[in-house]
Amino acid sequence: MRIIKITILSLFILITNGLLIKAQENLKIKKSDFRIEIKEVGFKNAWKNVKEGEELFTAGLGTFPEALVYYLKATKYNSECAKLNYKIGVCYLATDKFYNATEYLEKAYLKDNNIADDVHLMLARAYHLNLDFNNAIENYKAYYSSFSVKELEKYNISVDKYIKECKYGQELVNNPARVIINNLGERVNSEFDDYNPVLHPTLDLLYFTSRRSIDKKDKRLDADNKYMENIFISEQAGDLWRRPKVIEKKLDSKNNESLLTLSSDGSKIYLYNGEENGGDILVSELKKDSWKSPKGISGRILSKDKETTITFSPDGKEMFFVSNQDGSIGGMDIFYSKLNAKEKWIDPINMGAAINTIYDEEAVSWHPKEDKLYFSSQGHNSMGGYDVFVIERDENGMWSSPLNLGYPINTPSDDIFFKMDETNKQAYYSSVRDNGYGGKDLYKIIILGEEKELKLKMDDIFLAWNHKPIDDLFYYAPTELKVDTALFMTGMITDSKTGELIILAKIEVIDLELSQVIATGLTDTTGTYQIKIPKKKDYGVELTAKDYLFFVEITNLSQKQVIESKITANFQLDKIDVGAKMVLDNIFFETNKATIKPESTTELERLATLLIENPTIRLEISGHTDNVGSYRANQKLSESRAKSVVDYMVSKGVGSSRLEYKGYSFNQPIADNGTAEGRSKNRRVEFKVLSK
Amino acid sequence: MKRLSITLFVIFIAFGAFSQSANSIEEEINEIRKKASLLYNEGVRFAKEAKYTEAHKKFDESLFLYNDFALPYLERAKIKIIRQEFDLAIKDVAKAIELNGDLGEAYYIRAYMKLLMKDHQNALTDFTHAIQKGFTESEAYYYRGLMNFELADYNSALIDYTLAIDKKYDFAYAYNERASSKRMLGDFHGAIHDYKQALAYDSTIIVAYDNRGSCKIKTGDFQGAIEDFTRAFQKDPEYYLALNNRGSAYYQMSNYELALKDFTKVTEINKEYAPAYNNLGVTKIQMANYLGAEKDLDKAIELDPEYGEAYISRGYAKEFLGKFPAACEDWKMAKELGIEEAEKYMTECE
Repeated sequence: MRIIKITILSLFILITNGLLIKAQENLKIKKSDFRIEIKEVGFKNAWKNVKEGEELFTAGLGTFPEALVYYLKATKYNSECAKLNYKIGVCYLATDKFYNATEYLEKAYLKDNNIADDVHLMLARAYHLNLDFNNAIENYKAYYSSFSVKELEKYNISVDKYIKECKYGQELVNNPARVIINNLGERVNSEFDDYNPVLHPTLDLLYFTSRRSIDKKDKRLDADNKYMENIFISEQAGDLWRRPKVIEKKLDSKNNESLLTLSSDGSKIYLYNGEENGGDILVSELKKDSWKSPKGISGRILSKDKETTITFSPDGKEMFFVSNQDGSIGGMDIFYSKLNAKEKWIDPINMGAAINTIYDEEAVSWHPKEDKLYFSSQGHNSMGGYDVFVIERDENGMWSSPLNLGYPINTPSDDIFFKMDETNKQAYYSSVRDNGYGGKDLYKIIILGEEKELKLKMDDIFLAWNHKPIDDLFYYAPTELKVDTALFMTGMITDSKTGELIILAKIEVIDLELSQVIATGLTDTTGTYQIKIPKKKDYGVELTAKDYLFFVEITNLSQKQVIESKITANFQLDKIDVGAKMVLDNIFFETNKATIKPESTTELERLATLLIENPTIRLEISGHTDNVGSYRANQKLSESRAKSVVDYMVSKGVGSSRLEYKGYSFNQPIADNGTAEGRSKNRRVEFKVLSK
Repeated sequence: MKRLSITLFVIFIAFGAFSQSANSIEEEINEIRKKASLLYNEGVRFAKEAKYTEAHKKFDESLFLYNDFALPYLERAKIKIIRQEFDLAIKDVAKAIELNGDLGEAYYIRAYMKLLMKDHQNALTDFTHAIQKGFTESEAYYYRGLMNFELADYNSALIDYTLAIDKKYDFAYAYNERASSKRMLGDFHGAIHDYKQALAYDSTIIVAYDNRGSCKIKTGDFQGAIEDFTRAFQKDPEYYLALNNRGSAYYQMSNYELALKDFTKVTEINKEYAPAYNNLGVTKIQMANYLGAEKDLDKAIELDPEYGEAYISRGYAKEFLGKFPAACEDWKMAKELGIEEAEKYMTECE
């Protein structure tokens, strides 16, 4: 029967290769291969298992699963025998547990690189079925290159198709479809092949075909050593399906019956009968809650060749079916027919090379409401075996190119009998997957929409105060009444150019007599500071703020008026802009030398801090003198002093590339050289911002 | 004790009811003021020794003699706050401000009470008044920072905490709160530094470990985050938020088993904490346990029916279970609750 063939098709193609058979014939396990000299215990039983396995292996594919059982038992005695491992691997490839094959084949190959002529092919198949496409391609190529040109021609050997499948597989696996595939469970599926799920239009009955045993008298078919096909029905119970029952006797014969589809109103059931006319489609009608005896479908659909699956448009006026009848491009193809004005099916039309390939197409299924056809194909961009594809008809009646439904719906094994529901949200199909109960199983596919953003919730108590109120911070010991002599120095700090308030500018008040900082403060959001000072007198003030040049000055607080215990002193700061200059008033040198005096340290540290906190600015440090003495001598002195400052900065970790130094002699006076005070001012070091 | 109110004296003076000269009246007033001040000072001494009942009594007596005297009102208000007599305290402090508008501390006390009542905007105003009137203690800036934070003005909060730290370099709480402001402003590394400072000065601030852990997650330092959350939970085994956050860190490291363990433990500590059930659900979705996820998300929604994100996640679980109409209902609900992403999921339902 056609459907039986489908279940074993991919391996069938592989095994019929002449060389392969030869290779396996040569691989008889000899006692000497298996026996371990120093290990007599257990050999007798183990060898018996090997012999049983060999007999079943030689009998053909259908008995590979049984051979496997004996071979596995034999490994308890010797798990290192290369031939035994090879055969276990090959047997696994013929079962639904194909994912176990790799381990054994790799072991066999490791032990003996020439274990079999087809070892690379077997390894390639195992890797291919396990989605390890790179290794699969490598082994397909190795297998191919192991033949001479003559042999390739003689046996018509090609691995191109498999390599293409691997490449398609890589693409599909890298872009998976957002679906969940759930096994319908042990109540529905059996250890045998279960396939072609068809939902009754009422959605509460599930029809499917199974090759499970119904009673103990059941016999297996010679062709594949499996039980015959029967149709089963399962009823829905909440989210689950009840244990299936065999369909009523009128539809159940002593032979194989396989289900194809139901009409959209559930009044007709279409069956496949492989024993009639090369394989035909039958139909039975439901009359008074009972199915009538099935008959061949009407019209010119059926031929002397095989017609297998069939599907109808939602209005029942069009159909697709699968056949290898005349006009087929290759293997099984999809044909189309529709009712004419006389309500008769027109002659079938092959869907053409855009949809049919030289390989088999199977399992057509029309979407319950839309102009979409789902089918399985071994061609197109299948990743191996049958993959499910969809085509869609546009408003002009043209069918689109087949679109692979993608991984994980499709796998390198057979994925077939896909049935989409009318909402496009779920579908049923049959597949061989590693979470199955044996053979092909029925699966429900949940088609997910766009990926949803799942949000974890993290909570923090941001304010420690909220976690544990700090009451002790609250209660201040009151002060007894007395005259408060405290004075406050207050004022605003602003940008010298824009007048903008400067926030978080730091002010340090220095007692000039003690040479120490006696109070510090920061400006708030209003650019205002307020500092408690011990008494009204002149203090040194140092101001620093981010992005501004520092500022040092002696205040004249002693001259200012006290209003409500407060003396106001406002300050302005210059922003660090290119071209901005600043005289470093508090750098002192030994007379006529470039040696910096120790009392300059504070000012130099300020400059170093400025450079460190503003790591991108570049400065020119310049030395200047009064006009006493020659220009040349003063130029040399002014440059040396500027260099001394630069050297100090470099010693503090400032990169030398950020600093330039120049001596200007007495060319750039800032005061009158005619007075002692003016000359003193002209003897100075200053800096200029070159870039920032 | 002789009680004379200044108001009464003024009336007496105005109407010349007595024949005493203005000087003698002035002397009398000064005498009463002096006595009231002495009583006030006695109260202050008791208060310093934490003898609040005695202190309260002395402030009462002071005000009995001279009821336009602002300071006893202020001190009495403090004692009432300690006794949690907030209604009475707020009356006293209001009276103190009415009598002396320059009393910075009075504004501070009133601001503090408003803070306790979660009247953040008015508390902010009063803290600002307190500072403007010269009450520039570090706590005034700290609390104003708290109010700015609560009002989502993180820049101003950051400045206030900086001012507080400038006044008191080891103000651990201020470091923690400044770190939180930095975090809200996206400066995670700066925040981590401040949390570290907070813990250096006070290692009992458990939330600082927790908060630092959350910042480390933002910088991709999951291992460091897990260590911080673990420390927080070890220091306070009832502090389930740290455990919830550790679970989230594990989740983000795709270690769903450990995430599940932590979220489960959170639900054992606090059965009413909806986010833990949401997180359990989300984790179970990642572990393909959709039925389990649905149950947890049911619970999250039962505890907080307006938990929009939980509806999104439950819809997701239902979608995985093939319950499409129910999934759509959940996304619809999430959309109604203002979750923007829900809108695009709704298109799948049409």
